[in-house]
Amino acid sequence: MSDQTQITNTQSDRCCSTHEVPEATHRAATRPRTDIRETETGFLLQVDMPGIDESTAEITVEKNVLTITGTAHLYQPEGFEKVYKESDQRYYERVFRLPEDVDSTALSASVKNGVLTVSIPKSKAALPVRVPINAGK
Amino acid sequence: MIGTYAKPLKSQIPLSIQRLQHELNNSLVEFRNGLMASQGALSMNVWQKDREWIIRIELPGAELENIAIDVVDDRVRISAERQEFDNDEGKVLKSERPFGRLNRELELPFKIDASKTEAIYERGILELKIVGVEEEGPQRIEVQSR
Repeated sequence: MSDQTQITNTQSDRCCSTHEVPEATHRAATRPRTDIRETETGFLLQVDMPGIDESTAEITVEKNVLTITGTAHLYQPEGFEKVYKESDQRYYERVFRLPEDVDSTALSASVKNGVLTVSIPKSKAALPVRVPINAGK
Repeated sequence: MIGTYAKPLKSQIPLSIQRLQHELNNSLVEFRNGLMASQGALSMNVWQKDREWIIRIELPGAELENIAIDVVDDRVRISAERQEFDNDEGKVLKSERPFGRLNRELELPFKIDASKTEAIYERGILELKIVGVEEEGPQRIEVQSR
């Protein structure tokens, strides 16, 4: 299970994805909760993925599609009996469609306390440019 | 023979139906996520072995100093506070992650020995090991004659 969330400049712009449905996976995927912020220089994603670290998370960019996956390897305590369960093994997956004006080769990411932070810089052409004004003659 | 029918292969299901199913699935997950976030619920698993309990709670993005565990008799209360975003700058395009104060309270079937309770926070998951107080067996009261 995955989704296509579009990172856009307008919040009201509800994305209608025309992408093909990805191949169904047999393991149930969790769609991690995400915050997205846009700054002058780029986009910042914060994704809640408890149980993952830098070795178990993966970020790929293909064309303009950013895919975040991660598996939380949670051990089962030995000799203990499970009495209550809300979430078991976690396989996270979420797909975002990137806007055109980003530099997808310059992505950077870090993970801390189960939160993945992805920084996507805008391409140079998309950055605001201050035009110098000369005094008129 | 009863109940023998060919299960439709995935390839035989029209793409439009697959897409619809996919959309429906997503909206359900979205609804559940939203509901849990609005209630500030923390996902939890519990294991038991005699008087020992292991409680594992998903608590992404919390700092150690903002996690509090309080034990009173047979109740354990876990609370954590999470900051909304590292920096305030920028325009919010999507805000799904819960922030602020998150609480969860549990009642166990025994009195908790707070001195033996351990808590470890790693990779956004809080794991509590709770040990119950040894209960003394029934005590007989001697009757004295007067």
